[in-house]
Amino acid sequence: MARIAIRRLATLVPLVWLVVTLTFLVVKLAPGSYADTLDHPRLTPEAREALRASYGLDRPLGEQYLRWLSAAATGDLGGSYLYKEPVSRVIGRALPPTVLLAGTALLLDLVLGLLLAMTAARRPYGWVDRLTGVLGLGIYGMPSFWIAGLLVLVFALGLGWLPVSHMHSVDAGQLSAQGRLLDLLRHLVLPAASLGLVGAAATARLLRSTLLEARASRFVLAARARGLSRSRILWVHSLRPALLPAITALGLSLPMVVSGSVVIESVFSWPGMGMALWRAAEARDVPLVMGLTLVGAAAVIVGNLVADLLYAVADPRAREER
Amino acid sequence: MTTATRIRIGAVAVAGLAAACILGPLAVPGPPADPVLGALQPPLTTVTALELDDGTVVVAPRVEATRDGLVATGAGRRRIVDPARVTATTRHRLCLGSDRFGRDVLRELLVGGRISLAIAAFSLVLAVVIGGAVGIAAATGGRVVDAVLMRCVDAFLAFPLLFLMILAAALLRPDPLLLVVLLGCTSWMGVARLVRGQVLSLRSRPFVAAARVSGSRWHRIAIWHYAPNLVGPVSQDTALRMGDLVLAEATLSYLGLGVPPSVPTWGSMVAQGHRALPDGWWLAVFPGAAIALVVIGLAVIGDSLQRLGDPEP
Repeated sequence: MARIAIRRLATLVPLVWLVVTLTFLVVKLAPGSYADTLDHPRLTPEAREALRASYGLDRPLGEQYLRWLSAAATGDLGGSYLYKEPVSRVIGRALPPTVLLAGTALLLDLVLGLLLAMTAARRPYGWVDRLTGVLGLGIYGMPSFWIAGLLVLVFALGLGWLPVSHMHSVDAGQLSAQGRLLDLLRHLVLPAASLGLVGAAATARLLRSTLLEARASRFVLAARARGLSRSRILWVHSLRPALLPAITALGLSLPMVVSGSVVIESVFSWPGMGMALWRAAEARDVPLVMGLTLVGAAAVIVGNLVADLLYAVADPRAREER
Repeated sequence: MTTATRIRIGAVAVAGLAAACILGPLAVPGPPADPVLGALQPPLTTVTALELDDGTVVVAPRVEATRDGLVATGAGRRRIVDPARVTATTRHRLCLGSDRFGRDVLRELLVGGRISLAIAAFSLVLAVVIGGAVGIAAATGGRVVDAVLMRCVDAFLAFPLLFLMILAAALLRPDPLLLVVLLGCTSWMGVARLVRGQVLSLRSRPFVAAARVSGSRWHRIAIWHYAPNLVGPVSQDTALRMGDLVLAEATLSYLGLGVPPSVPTWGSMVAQGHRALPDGWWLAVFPGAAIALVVIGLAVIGDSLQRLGDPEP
């Protein structure tokens, strides 16, 4: 178990390095630097040059890269040009909203996907199965930002039940602790739903097919012959083998969840990593862009690792093979 | 429903929409755009277009003849036109309404679909070429090459690519070609895995061994023996992949990457619709529905093709 974890980690470190290097190249090769984005009538060309020098932007590309890499290796992500504070603090502020949004969406994805797949697999090719199949296919084809727009149209603008965007109301500061929590939850519903529904459709599709596969296997026949109840066979005997591919798919879908929450953040003006990245890139705030990418890549990669380990926990065969 | 019927339904949906997008803008002239009186008309409005002698056009949902002249009203404004100046009058039905600049949404949808589908199709070609090359190289190039290439595939799969694309969107100027390159370079991994697996199983087949002992070079084997046998499995896979690319393209142009704002694509039309949301629900709803229709159609085709290739129930 520990061996698998160490082996996987050893291959993942170069991966993070590759991603970060690629990002550095993209940021640096794009035209303009932070000093050029500043717009002030009294900023003379000399002052601009001095500013570039003070941020080390006049140094050769290789030197800038090595300087950033060696600092990052010791855990120092540098200071943000835009916010004039350590990058780690900016990320510390942007991470919780994204984790909250992506986490809620993932939970919704799993619970809803599992329930739909279970009801569908109880009677394959019955009307519930057909209905969820059609719905799942429909949702799979819809872009998440469009679903978000439809939900806003119906529940926020049409019925007025939920807020249109942002994470807090304007007057949230005056509310009690409970009121603030409720306010946050009300703001969370639409973004999490638009992200989670798309995921749930995919999860349900996958789980249904693996459940049906498990149903046809010999151990299910044996369980039936022993006179076990339908639901016990479904929830205990079929579910465990059926979950295995779902765990791998979950790990692979993590980049999608992160990316998806970036899109949804921009629809709902949710103050998370995506918005921070967008602003940082527009201001050519290199340390912040690099820091955000590093955290994003690390999160996805650790998530994949966790999925791998979960797989090993759930399937004894995987433990021996690797 | 049989598999063949499903394929037919999916193909009709996708091909119909694609044909409409390619030919539609030629066939449907649409009313000229009038950003003043003709803006934000709901679907199924009939508008009257008055061509004036100075070449300008007044488009309005209501035109009434009064003592002062022709009174055109629309979008909360009115304008009085001297009947003597009107050179031609035409009536148009805006099936899907008009946008903030008075443009016909149906026409925009068809023009935008042409661009969206072209970008997705070209990046699909690029992805298949890159993925095919990497897959064949990994399967035939020896253990070291295989390990390195497959690590690269893992790296690309593990990375939140949209993150990188948002970065590119914020940093680089919108350009359809850039979009094709970005999409193509970030969606070849699935093809590479598929091709690698197929080639690994083909490699041990007798006809490949026969080609090798008869002195064929590796590129000859790749082109004449591997490639033809890869067409089937890859084309099954591409239907689903094309759907994903249509979605990815829509997402990027929704975020503002891709084409310049003046050129409509389905994604940017949804974005524009969201900005006008309280007034014009139809602006965002129809382009999104078009995306969904294409992606679902492609998914139906892909699923059914897979079922044909693998006839277990």
